[in-house]
Amino acid sequence: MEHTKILSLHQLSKRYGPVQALNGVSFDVPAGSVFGVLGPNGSGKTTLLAIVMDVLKANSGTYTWFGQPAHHSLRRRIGTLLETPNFYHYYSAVRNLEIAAAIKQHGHDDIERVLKLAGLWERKDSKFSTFSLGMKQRLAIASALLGNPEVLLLDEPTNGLDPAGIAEIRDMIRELGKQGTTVIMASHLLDEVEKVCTHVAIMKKGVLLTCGHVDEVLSSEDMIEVSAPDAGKLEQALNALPGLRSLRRHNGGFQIVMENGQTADQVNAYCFEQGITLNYLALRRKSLEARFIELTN
Amino acid sequence: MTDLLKIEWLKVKAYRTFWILSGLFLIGVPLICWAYESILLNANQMISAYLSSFSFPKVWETAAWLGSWMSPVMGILLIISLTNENNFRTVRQNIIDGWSREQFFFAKYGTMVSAAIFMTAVMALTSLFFGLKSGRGSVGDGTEFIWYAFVQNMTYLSLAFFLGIYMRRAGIAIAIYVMYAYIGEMALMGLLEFKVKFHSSVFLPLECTDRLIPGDSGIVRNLVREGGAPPSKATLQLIAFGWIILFGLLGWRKMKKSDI
Repeated sequence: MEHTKILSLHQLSKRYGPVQALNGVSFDVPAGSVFGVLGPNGSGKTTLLAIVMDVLKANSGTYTWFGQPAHHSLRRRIGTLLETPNFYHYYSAVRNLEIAAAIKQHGHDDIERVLKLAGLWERKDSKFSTFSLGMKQRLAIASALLGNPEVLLLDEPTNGLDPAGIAEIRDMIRELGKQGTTVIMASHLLDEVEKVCTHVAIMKKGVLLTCGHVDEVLSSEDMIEVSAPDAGKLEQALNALPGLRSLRRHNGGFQIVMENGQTADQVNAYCFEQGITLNYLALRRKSLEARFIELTN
Repeated sequence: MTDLLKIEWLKVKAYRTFWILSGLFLIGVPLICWAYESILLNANQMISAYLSSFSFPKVWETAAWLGSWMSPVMGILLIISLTNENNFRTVRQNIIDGWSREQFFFAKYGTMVSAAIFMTAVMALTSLFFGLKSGRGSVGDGTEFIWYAFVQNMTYLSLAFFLGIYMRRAGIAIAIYVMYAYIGEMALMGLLEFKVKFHSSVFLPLECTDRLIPGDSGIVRNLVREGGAPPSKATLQLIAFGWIILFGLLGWRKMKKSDI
């Protein structure tokens, strides 16, 4: 890779009338990473991606692709699926990809490969308007893959896909990541993101809450799961536990996060002192979902 | 520019609506001329001879004048092609895939100019056919009306271009366009001419070129004239180019600045 940062955002802001969709968002996407942009609905993920693809105009802030100021020719090096599959309804899959290939300044020789990869080769001559939602999504992914781009930018890529399709896309993203393709992926399917992403940025209401390597975002957040026969008494005791950062109910027990890295045996000893005998105690790395919920609530 | 037009061609070459509307124009212009010629020949030989509508040099003007009744068909096609890009969100996809906003604009503007050239060619060939058929006059006389026809086609298409860029819904844009082209401007013209100031309607976007190519309606216009010299052809062309540039700039501004 010629640059260590594929995409750099600096203080991007966007307003829709009274709604502040993005508020001073800055982060870098390292080359070769599988970068997940996470956030609940309305957090500004799609707005952010649409700005860096020049279909929305930011009110302020700048961004660079491949270390260079934004320019349309740089977008030809990026395969993009943004929000919805956008194709000419009256044309077949092949004709639509011919148009996309012409704009990307690629030949037509890659069309067969990407249609086969997306599982649409059999329907290559069918009109786009006759496609199911899942097939439309597959065609959009095929279009994004045209010409083996250096970067893939995928906004909710598994939308409309069945479980097998979701698994295929997940495997494909993982495989492309291994091959060195940088993948930027916006999603609210945390399980999917956790399985494939090396880096994450978490957003809420247009504000960047945290960003970094998945291990960094999650590492300081080891979580202890406990349960006891008397859940009420346990909850009362845990709430009084010195250094407790957060507590939440989980499968009949509790998940707790401590401020100063207290260990599971210290928690066990504390509970025992309080007259509570634990029937379950486990140290877990916090799931992305738990971290996400903690940050966004 | 050629590359942009090649891609625009890819977008329409297998699009049925494109072929139907283009075909309608291609057939419609000679057909309307044929119908008018038949009416003149059957109505009164003296009037027909007086008008000489299908003899050179007048035939250039006649075909352009009658052809302008079909011009909105091509305007509708342009509106459909522009609103399709909005409705299918392919304008977004074209930008995402690597076009700049300027390239998208020029691709569409180039399509519009190509359509105006096509329309002018159809009108010119129709003139040539009917003029040669009449066997009167010299072919080379009156050919300035080919240029006037091009200017007229550009104004009709520029209005369609403006509506197609600014309006998302094809149906509403087409309704406004057709109503304005066939009825709205005529009503406005009447009001301006008789309630405000005679000849003030030449500043309307379509009327300026309708006066550039009055055809046989020029006789009626002369009958109701209340005095005052009509604007020169040069003035009418200047007004037409003013509208062409204005509609183009407004379209450019929208493409350049707005979210898509």
